[in-house]
Amino acid sequence: MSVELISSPPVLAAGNWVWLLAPPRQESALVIAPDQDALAGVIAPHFAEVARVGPGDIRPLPVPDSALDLVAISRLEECAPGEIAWLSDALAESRRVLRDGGCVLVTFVNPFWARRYVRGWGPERLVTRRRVLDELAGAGFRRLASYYIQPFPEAASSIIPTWGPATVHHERMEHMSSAIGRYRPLVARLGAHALLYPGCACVGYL
Amino acid sequence: MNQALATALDAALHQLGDALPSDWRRIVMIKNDGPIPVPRHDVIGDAARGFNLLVLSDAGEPAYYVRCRDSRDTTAAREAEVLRRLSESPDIRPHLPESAGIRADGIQVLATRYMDGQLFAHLLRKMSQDEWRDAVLELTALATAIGRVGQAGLPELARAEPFDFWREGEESLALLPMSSEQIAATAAALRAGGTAPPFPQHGDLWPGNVIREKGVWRLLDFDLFGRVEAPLFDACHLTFTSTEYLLSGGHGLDTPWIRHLEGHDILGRGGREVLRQNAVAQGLSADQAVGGLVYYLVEATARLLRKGAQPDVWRGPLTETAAAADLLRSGADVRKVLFPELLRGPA
Repeated sequence: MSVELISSPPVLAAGNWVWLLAPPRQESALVIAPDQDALAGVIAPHFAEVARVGPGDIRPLPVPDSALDLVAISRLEECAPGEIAWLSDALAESRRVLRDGGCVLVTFVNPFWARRYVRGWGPERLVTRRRVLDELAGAGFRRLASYYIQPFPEAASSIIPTWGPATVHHERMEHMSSAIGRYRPLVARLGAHALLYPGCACVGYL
Repeated sequence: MNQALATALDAALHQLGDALPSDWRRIVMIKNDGPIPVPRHDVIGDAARGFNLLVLSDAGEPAYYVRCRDSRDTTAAREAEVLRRLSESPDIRPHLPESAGIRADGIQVLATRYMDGQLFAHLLRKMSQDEWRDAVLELTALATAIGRVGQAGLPELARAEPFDFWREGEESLALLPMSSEQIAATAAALRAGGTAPPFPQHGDLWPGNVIREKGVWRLLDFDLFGRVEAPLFDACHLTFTSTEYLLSGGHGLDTPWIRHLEGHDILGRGGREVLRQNAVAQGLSADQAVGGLVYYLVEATARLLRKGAQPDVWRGPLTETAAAADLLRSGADVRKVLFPELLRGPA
């Protein structure tokens, strides 16, 4: 089992995720992610301590009960390709190690874009947003939220609630001037916003 | 939402007569370009860093646009203060964004009530050249009025010494990849401009920073206000960029702007009229007006080079500066071509 302590944050705006989340405190966070994943580094400035463990180190997580403010599962499709049981176990463990009010963040590739972003793509590796939300609810998380991530899963230039009006106005604001972009608000308005964004994220609180 | 951001945003929205939404779906993060906090090795004060939020109403319509920056970022704090002080003038308040700035633990926000108008950049697509001229005259007069309020209401902006076109432009000119003859002609025009009374400019007055809402012009983005004090800068920038939007939708000009300015059509006469009216309003002679025009071209190009912009971004402004330099070194008296009325002196 390996636990890697993060001390030198790379400069990536994706760490601003933390401003949208509401963990009870900002003392300790744990990121479950494959090697080379940047999320632990970019959220490090927001917490006194951030650690990362690999996807194989979750049974159990090497953390005492009720010790963390945030658990982030980054790139779910890389952590456990198609294994919903892995997600169930990871969320159960997250629930154990989070304090009251603690927050879990799960990021993953939108299945509609998976062919482009997932190495060794195959339909069996896909996890839908609905399924992740169901797993969060099943693990006892409340106050659920879900977002799209643009322009690609790791670079969160836009973090957009999965609500029709939010996607319509995001598209009107961000894509008005380009030729193809002119059709994106229409796609969002027609309710097909799930087609537009490569990344997804779900959030749950205890 | 994180407690510090929630506190700051709630206080800012409270100042605008509203409150923080409780529904997570109403907050969209956009233009997430730089981490907050800014890492130690990065430069604080770069207005491009941080992220913005679009806050939607209960009904799902845009309600506020919120710029979020590191609490140590002096640029964002300055803009909030500039807008607060300028808004004290009842005459220009209707033309400013309705904003509130708040600083909290590690972050500061500048919330602006969403304006449901049309960008000047979009209006230009359907405007006639006569309408374009009238709009640019109105807008530059408005920018001058705001500059006057800034002079009076923001005494810290007032610089003691006059604006010296050559001294201020020399360093920027050295950055431009032009021929030695073009550099020499440009330098001579800057030197001939001498000095002029400094005048606070908006600093980025282009069609994307102007909205027409219910028949009223509103200017956006005051982060550079007063940082540029070169007379005529706003008038040149808006006339040039709006000409570009009018003719090509913002995709560059086939004929250099300076050549359009020489012309006898509405674009030429209208453009000269805008520059002349602004030169008169800012008390400039013909030499100073030419100095202001040349300074604008040099500085606008150098700004892009300093930012490390891609060649396809700075090539257009560089072509404009080089065309002006070619006109200057052709022996033509640019003062007579562009500002004959100023040579005759006050009526």
